[in-house]
Amino acid sequence: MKETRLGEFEEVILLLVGILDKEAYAFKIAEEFEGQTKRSVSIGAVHSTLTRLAEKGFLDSKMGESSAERGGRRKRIYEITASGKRALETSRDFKVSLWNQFPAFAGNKLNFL
Amino acid sequence: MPPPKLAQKLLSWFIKDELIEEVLGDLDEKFNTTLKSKTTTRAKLNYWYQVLHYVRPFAIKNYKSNSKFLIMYQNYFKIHWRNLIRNKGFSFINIAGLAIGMTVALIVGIWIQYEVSYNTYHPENDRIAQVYQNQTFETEVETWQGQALQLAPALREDYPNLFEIAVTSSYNNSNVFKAGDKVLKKRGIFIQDGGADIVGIQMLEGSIDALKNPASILISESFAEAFFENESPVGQSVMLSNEKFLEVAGVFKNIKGNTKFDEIDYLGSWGFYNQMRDLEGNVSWGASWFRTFIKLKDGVDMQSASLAIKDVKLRRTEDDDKRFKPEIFLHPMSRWHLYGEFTNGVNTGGKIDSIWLFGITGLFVLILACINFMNLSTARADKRAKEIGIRKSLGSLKGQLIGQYYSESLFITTLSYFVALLLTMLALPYFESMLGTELSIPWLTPEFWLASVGFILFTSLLAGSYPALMLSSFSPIKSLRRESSAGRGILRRVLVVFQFSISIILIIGTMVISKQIQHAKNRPLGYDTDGLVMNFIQSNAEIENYPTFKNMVLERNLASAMSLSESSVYSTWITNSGFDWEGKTPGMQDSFVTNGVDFDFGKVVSWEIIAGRDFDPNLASDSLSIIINESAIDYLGFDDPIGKTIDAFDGKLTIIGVIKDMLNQGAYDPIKQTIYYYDFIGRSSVLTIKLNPKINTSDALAEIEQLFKSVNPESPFEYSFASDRLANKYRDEEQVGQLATISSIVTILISSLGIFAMAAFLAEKKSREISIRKILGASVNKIWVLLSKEFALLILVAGLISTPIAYYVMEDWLADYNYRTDLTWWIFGLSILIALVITIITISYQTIKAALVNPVDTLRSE
Repeated sequence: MKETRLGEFEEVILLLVGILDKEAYAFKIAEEFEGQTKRSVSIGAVHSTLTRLAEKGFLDSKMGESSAERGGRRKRIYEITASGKRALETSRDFKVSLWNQFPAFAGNKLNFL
Repeated sequence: MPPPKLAQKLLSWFIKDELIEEVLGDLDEKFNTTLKSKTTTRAKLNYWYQVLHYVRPFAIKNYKSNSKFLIMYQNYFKIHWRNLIRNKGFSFINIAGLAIGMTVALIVGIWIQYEVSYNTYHPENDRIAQVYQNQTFETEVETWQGQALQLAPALREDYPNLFEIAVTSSYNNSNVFKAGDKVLKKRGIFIQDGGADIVGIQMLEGSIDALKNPASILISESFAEAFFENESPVGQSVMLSNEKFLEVAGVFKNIKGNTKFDEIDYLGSWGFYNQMRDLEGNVSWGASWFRTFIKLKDGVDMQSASLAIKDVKLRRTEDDDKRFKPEIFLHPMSRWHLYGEFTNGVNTGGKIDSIWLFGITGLFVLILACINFMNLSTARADKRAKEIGIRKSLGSLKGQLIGQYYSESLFITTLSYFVALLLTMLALPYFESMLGTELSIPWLTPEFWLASVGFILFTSLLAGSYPALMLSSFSPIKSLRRESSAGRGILRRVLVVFQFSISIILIIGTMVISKQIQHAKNRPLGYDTDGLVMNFIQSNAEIENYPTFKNMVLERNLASAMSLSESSVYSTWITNSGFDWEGKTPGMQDSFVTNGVDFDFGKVVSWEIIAGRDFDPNLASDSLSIIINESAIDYLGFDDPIGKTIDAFDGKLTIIGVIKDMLNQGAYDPIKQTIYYYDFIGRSSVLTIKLNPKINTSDALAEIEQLFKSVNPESPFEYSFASDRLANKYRDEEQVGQLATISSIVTILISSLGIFAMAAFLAEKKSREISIRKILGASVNKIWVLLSKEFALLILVAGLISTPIAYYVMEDWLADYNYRTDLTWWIFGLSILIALVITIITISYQTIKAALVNPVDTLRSE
């Protein structure tokens, strides 16, 4: 049985894959990550996480087209699977439920949906 | 601008093939994006950074999956493992033998490393030396480290180009210190300014320059802890010998372990020592009472400096000392420990001899263990022959088979090495206490692991070469046809003979050494050490209070007698010369061992008067009387010595008695002419007490200590037993003896393991012959003899070979001793007999087992 919970980094990467949609490949995801979080990351680290998420069944991938900038090499485009989506939702719901139990916010129920 | 080629190459070398395209593409894109906002260099650096971050488990190639090389070795490993498991007995003997051999080699190695690293703690040890001198007496040259006070200044003045430092130092001795209410004895030296550099101390607190000030002292960490515990010691004062306060000017790191300056707990200034002893102007060039150390200037050659200063003393000394032709030379720091012995003025080695002795022994033990491996591998060649035949038929080259057998010996050796490490860990504390040194496995140094790898490789080459070459040369046709390939085993027999020759030599050596020690211990002492206890006098107050103390002890009947003397009875090293007597050969350079004693000395040590009488306290004239030993009669040339006189110590002394020779110097040295005179000069430094045999020793000592303290509240009472001190004289030889015993046990053990396995092999090989013989009517006895005969013959051959070698070696060893035992034939006979008996017992298990087998069991399988 593979570990199916999401780490913080994994969750962000998974969300970025969703955001980037057709442009979701390792380099772009790394750029987007740096842009959104102001944290630096190596492409290798992102790639490694993508591979792990694919092994868990949260991501699917196929080879896309090439471009001159890439020296004519193709890229690997990632796509969220149904179970990837479920995992993201579970993770969000769990956090919301935690927030709702937080006494400081008890009177002012949060609702993200 | 293309991305860096080298980085791309590196990436494609390690990354999985299926990932190359996308990763290179991503990195190119990253590179091009970076170029837009940053410099080319930054972009290139970033590319490298990205490449290196792809070294992750998910991305790198799986080498296991596609290397033929590795598959091959995996298979070898599998075969080794199966062989190991299938033949548990042989494997056990192989590994046990090798492990024991390696343990011995390892321990010897650690010990040699320790001894060789002596005095190397000093970063400038190649520039430091102690100054020695040779003096010629009659025909013999004696070498001393003792030097005159005047030597160091003379060296400084006469050779300013050679020496950076030349200092005089006291000997390392213990003094009583007091601070607050604590009184303790500490060892240390007094040394001239610059001496701290010679000793190589590292200051923790305070200044090293303190030795310029006579009222200062530098102390070690442990000294500071003992007296001041948590307080800061600098600026505190300590009282020395109840006489003088010294101010602690600094604390230095403890000097521990393998150095000549071990256990120095303080460095005192020479200025203070000078005042205390009133030396300056009062001691001449003839008084070689001190030590001199030098440090060469940078770039000066030790040997040429040593030659240059040869005549410095001869040039400066007065006429009287010139007749001994003093020659000054340097003894370099690097040689202090290993090359400390001088014979007739020439350096003749020292500890280095033991290093060679045990280095060679260790190597031999290792070789014996390797021989086991060789013999077992080749003896079992028949069993491996089929495997070799098949491998060769399938296309293995000879070189590959050699590689396989080397890897097998490497495998076994590595396993044995880890067992050996374990055994070493267990055995090291024992060796530590035996050798009196601190030995440890240097787990954390890379050198140790490097040496370990070298050691494993060396051992596996030594053990594996012969089997690898022999087994790999089998013809595939012959081995597959099951023709015997094991050969006739002549070499195996030679190797067994070699093993047992070494074992027998070591057994003989062990016996000779223990016989020599026993011989020395049986040497007549001439005195009685029963209940004899010494305490070394520390201050003049103790001598002043002595009569009171003596009366108190004798009144309470705690001791039967008590005496003060210059030297102890067992260790009398003071010599004097320049005496005159009737009939002395003109120009003779006389020399006597002398001991200043009081009237009760003879009673305390129970010496044996063979002519004349003992000192008589009731005769005032006896203060100018002397007692000589037997050896002195011949030396003086008197027929009847009683009543004759000797001019000595500025007086005319009358001989009143002759005693039987007493062992008062080295345990193996000849006993020298000795004079016991009444100590009218007041040089007493040893208090000797003969305890009352009727009172329990520890009770008596406790009470005596109390009385001593009540009379001398400022002095510690630290006694030692004469018998213990005497036992120290045999320590070196006993150490060698213990080591020889251990080596001989280990070698015989290893050899027996080997022969045990050989016997098993032989019994198995001859199982059908044995069965047929049994059917034809041979008794178990006969078969036992048949199988044992060959081994017994080998042992006898080994005995013949080893006897002359052992005789030569042990004769050479004994030649160093003046008082020595003789080599008798029974030692050799007994040693061979021991080896023979052990062998027969070892193989009997196998031979009897083979002889008892029911013939049906072996013959049925045909």
